[in-house]
Amino acid sequence: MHISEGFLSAPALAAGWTVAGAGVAWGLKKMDAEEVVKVSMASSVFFLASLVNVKLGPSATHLSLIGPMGLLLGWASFPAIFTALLLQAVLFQFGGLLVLGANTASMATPAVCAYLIFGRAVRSQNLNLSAAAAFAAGFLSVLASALLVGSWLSISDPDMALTAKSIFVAHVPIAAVEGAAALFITLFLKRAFPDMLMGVDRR
Amino acid sequence: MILDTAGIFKESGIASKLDSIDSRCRVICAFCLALAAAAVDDTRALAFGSALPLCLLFMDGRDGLSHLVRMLVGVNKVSVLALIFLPLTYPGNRVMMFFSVEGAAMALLIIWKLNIISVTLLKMVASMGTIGVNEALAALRFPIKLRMLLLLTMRYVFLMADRMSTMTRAIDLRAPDIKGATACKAYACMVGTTLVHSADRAERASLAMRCRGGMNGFSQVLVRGWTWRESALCAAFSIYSMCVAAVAVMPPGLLGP
Repeated sequence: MHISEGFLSAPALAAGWTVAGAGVAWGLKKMDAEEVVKVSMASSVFFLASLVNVKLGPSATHLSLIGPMGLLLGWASFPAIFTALLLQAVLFQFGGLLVLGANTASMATPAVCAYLIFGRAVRSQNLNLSAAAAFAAGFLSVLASALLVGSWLSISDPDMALTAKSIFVAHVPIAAVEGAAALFITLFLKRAFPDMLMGVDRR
Repeated sequence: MILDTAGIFKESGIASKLDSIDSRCRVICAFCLALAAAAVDDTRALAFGSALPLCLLFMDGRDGLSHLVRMLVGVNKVSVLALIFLPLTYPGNRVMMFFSVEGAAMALLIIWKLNIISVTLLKMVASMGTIGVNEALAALRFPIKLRMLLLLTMRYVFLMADRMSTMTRAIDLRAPDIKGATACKAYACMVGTTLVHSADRAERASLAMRCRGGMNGFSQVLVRGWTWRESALCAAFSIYSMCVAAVAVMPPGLLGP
């Protein structure tokens, strides 16, 4: 899911930093100073969850959990994802520092969209509706993220359109697994700690 | 399930000759050169732009070089993917029915840029470690909430890594060959349990922080003074970056074929 250094042109990098900067600024504005601890705790859990290798058929994959992160953190997803990606770039050399803006934009925008579109349905008392919304949030947020990654590549070089389409298609099975993970996480939290699904800025 | 936390526990800045330079100067210089390298597609400009990253690569002797090479091996895993994937999907003349020559050339160009940018940013920014990055963000007047988020995330990553590795070990003991929906459910419950524990812990941590004076401690960052040396370094990097961009727009006859 990460775009590496060298793939994006200067205009794409600038656009990525603009979107990420605006999102992070708005996320920080909406986040109360006392919520920073909660957001950082959730951010560290998601950071670690993305380091777990889960077997998928003959291979293994790392899940990104963009959908659940959006459902839990709301607008705070932007600063949380920015921080997690910054740490990943510094500690593991995943992604990169120059492409941090584009990577933040392509992961945090679907997370916030998942919160805005599916948040209300996930919080509803109807368990079937809640489960369907959680699956859709997980599934669609990964596809949207892959779409955004493809868009950054196409902006940088229009000849990479086929590469972008291939990236999107390759993410469909991962999106299904992410959808299932989002569904199970949501059902678990609805039983164990429903307040967590309110979004940080609503609690 | 395997929790790969090797990188987290190795976290710390790497001693370098650059450590005496102000952190914000290092960030500005590194981003200046990295942006110039990202903006050009000309091989002459990239060859010229490689000179400074090469100097950075060898400036700290054998220890610095071996550490940076280990980091670069991690970065270049994506290079292998680019070399396979781009020739298959990029338009252009096909060799052996499938591989595009233009795609292979583009992949090599991207790998070259990837290495120039990575050496520059790893050596000048990432080698400062999380504490150094926080120092740079403070000096560049980033919001305190963002810096606090960075430091607290780093702190809780250690705590949660311990808890999560216990849980992954428990899942592996109970069902080592867990697959499919059951694996997904086990993984989701593990994440859910860790989130519930983290919420409980966050509540107590935030009360403790309020007792200690809220965000007061986070604003105390030692920011080094900006001297003529930092100004000179910024100017040198800016001129070098502009030269890289200028080489890219020069007509081919001026600098050889």
